[in-house]
Amino acid sequence: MSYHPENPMIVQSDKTILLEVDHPGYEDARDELARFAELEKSPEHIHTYRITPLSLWNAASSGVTDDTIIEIFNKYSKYDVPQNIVEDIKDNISRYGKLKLIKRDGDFLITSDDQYLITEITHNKHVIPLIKQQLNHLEFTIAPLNRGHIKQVLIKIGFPVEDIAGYEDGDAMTFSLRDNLLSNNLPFAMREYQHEAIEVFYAKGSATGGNGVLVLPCGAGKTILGLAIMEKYQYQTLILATNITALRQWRDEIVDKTSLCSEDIGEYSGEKKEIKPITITTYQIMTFRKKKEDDFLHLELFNKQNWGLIIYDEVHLLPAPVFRTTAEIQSKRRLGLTATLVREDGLEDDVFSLIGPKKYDVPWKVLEKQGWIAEALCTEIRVPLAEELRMEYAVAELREKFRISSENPLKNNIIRKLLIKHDDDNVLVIGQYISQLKIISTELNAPLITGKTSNPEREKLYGEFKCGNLKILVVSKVANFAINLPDANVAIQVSGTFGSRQEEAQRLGRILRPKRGENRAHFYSLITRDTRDQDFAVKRQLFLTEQGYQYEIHDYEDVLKEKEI
Amino acid sequence: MSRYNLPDYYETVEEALMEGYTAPIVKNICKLLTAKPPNRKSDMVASICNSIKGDGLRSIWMRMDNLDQTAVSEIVHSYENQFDTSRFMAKYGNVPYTGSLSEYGERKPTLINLLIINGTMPEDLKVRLKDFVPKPRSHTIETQNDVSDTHIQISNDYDYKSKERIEVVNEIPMINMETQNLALQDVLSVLRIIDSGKIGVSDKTKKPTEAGVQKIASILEHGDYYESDKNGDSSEIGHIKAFAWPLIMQSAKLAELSGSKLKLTKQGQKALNTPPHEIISILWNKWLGTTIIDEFNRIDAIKGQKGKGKRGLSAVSERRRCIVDTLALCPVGKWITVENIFKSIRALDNNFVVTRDEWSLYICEPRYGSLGYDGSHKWEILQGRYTLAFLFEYAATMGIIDVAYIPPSMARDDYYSLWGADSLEFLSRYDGLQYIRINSLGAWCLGISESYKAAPIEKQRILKILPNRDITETKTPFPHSEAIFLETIADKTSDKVWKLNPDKILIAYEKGRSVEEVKEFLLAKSEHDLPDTIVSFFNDMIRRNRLLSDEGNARLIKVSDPVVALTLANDSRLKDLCISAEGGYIAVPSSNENAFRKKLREMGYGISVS
Repeated sequence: MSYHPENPMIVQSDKTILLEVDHPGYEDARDELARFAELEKSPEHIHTYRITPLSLWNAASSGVTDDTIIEIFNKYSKYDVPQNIVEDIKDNISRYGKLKLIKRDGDFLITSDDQYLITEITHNKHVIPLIKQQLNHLEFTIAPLNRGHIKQVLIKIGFPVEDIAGYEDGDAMTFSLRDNLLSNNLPFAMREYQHEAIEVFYAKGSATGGNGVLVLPCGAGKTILGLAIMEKYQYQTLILATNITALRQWRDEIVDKTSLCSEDIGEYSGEKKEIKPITITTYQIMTFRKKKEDDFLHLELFNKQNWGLIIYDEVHLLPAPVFRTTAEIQSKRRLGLTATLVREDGLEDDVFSLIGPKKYDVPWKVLEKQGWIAEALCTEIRVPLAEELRMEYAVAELREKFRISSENPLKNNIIRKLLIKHDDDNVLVIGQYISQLKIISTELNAPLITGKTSNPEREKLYGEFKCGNLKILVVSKVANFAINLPDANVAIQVSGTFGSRQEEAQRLGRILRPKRGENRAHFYSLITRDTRDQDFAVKRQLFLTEQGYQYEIHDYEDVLKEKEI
Repeated sequence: MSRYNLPDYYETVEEALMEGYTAPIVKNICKLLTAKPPNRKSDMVASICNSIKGDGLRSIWMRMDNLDQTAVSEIVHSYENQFDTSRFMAKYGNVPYTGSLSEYGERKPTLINLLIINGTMPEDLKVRLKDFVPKPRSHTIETQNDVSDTHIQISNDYDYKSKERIEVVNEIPMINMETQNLALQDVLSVLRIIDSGKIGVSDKTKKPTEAGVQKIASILEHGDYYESDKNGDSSEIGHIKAFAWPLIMQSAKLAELSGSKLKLTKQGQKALNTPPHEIISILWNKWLGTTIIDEFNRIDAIKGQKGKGKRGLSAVSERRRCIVDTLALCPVGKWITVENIFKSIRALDNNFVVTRDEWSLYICEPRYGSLGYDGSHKWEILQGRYTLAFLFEYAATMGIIDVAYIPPSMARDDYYSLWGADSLEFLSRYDGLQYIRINSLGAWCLGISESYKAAPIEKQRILKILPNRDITETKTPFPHSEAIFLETIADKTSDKVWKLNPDKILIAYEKGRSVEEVKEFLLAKSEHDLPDTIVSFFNDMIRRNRLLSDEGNARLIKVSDPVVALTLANDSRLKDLCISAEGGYIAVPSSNENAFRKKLREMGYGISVS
């Protein structure tokens, strides 16, 4: 076996690639790897990438060949590339583009140069119902409505379809991006990475562009990407956001950064059912139905207007019914936005086939170095369980144990201590249990936002926090997603949802938006030592360290003794 | 030793001539000194004694040739009066005849037969000769600085075309192995693999099982001496180092049998944290006295070592002492051929016997193949093969000597003439050993040098410990000993990545390994400081472990009335002997059980058998 210790990469037979972060060749190798491998873990020192069929098809869709990948491996790898990896790459790359979805004389056709492949798939029991007519041994037609379904089925049997059938043009909507922001008149310009992402997605207006997912870390300006792409196409657009707060933030951003005014923007939510050239809705309302057996009435929104572009915000949360509808509107241009393609339900391949391949990805660490997102310091503080709760905890059921340990009142001492340390900062106190949050809110004399807080009240409090009138905000899990609080730079998590990795990342995401001054954010997680709280915290902690966040662990006593933390 | 084998001892030359020789032989000796010897034996002896009076003895010595003079000087300046022909031959390559003479034989006596009578020098002569016979030269062990990369092997073949015998010259690559560093790494690897409970040994012989040997071979640095190849010669050779290590560990009581597997003893656990050269020193010294195996048993082709044959075998510790005494006189850092080692063992008066009963040992078949026949039990066959086994399998495995070797097949031809040896590729698996060299570790263990300066341990920063508990190997080849250790604390998740497994660490902790040790290991091997999350991970574990301790067994007694249970547990006579438990139970530590029962009876309570 040849050994090149001067190289930064180790290619392993399980299809993972280890990359030494401190190595001088790291950046070059990383840029090459990102073209065809998914970043799986990024703790200090070593990052782990994985090549999957999807990542290879994504690469193939952007013109990367198997020879290029193997050449990159040979160039950067410390050891010989395992033979199974070479074969796997060749096999997967060769699959992409073998099947094409084209449009001819108004018909949608699946076509290939390989008659055996066509024979194989036309005999597949999942494909057969979707075939409209087999024209010859190299092509068959499908119904326009099955354009998404056929792609879904074929990717599941290992053959991704290159969809070059093009799109229907939507109704036009003319607008432009502002040179200066409406809110404060500051100049508005795209960052370089945003330009790159937009150009890759737009692909000069060709059929190869117009669908796909752009992956950017929290706080890196995904909303702005959406606005810029809308501006490129100038079509009427449907935007799907995660919840009502996010919906309104989209609305505010559009008004602030484009020539559109609020009258041009429709809100399709539980409260309003407006349909306008730019309509913003939520996944909640899309999947709303009175009874389980009822239809999803609001899904009709997709067809109520001749949309030219549909934007899926936080695409990793896209619910299954929306997927199903999306399969039927494949002639529309589709943009997915997310910070992570990892889906807890494993439906990444549906995102690939129905929204589109990943078109752009930039490691958050790069943006952090460039100052576009804040540097995050995670600190776990271990608090002992209050003496009076020890016996109660000892005899409690498991689920109750978690609650008792999460609500440990000694955590409040630490909160006070941290607030003294961060008296100039904008602090979010985030928790799971409303009773606990109420006590904290009262003790700190800080407002509390929960699911029961009315939307106007929320808007008002968020507004005050943004403009600096409020320095501390206590929030429940309603704040996990898409609250744009640019100036929050300290988050204190007093309790979490068991081991939810996504929640921890989302909560951290609340404070990652770039800050004035030192551009640094602090995320404190208060954990009751040697309890269920700590057990679950370990899982969340591992996830964050894998995402590359620096993590420190301190003891309650040390913090109270004003030790530097 | 049988009285019949006692060496002759003569007080005076007169006594020796009268008792040791017949009249015709005395007459022939007398003729060497006087032209007209007397007729009667006693007169002849008197005449000879007269001739060697005063300066006569010196003039006789002066008339002797160089070889004879050397033989005389060897006896005169030794503690013995007997002439050791084997030793003399080894030292000088030739030997004068000093054995028994017969009047009918063709061998005529020479002057040396006057001074050495039937192999023995009379005491009075020895005393007088000491005045003028110079001391013999001491034996010099021949050495060389380097060994060749190849070994020239000459064999005979038959050319059927020319119908002539031809000489075939083969050039065989010589493997030159510096064993010191290998052994220093192997010793830890072997301890760790034993600790992992994967090495099976026979409960009767203490020898490792085939699976155990394979396992050890797989973790040795550079593997065993010969690669195992089931289709080739080496499968017959078998493992050498991998066979030796479990025995070496057991002999020093660092490992012992537990069920069918080896486990580390307390000393073994301690050894894991001892500098490797110190462990080697302990192992070596223990090995010299061990009876766990007779290395000669490993010469598989020589049968008859069990039963009656076993009784004839000499004490192994004495054999080892002879070899080790010889090694201790070898120059350090110089290559020495095994032939020179063979010679030196004898020349330095460190000769030994393997058996007192050569007739019980045999090749192939007990009668025809017996090694009792003249020429069958020559030194190289018995002592030589024992020496090779000891040096190659044990001394070199422990890193005492470096070795240069070739495959054993046809490496030595000294056994070809033995009956039944025709079908053997080699007489022993150690026949390929060609050269040895005492290295610095060996010099220290053999007492040649007073101290051993371990090579500065280059801190092997071969791991990256990540905050998410991943451990990545960053160097190749990754040392086996480290891999074995990691196996006990982490799961291998891919080719180069491990993940710390708290369950495994706790199991290791319960077996006696400290969590601090694990932490120190990672710290020593890590290219960076341990991440905060990892430090906390270990600190948590250490703190939690301190909360619980094993206090031994106890008997649990159920008292149907909880109040009585509480009363008994708090009674002044019982409270120091038991512990009150929840739910009307009383726990009585086993060590207190008898006293508890006695007190209970005194109080009028008995415990029913459930």
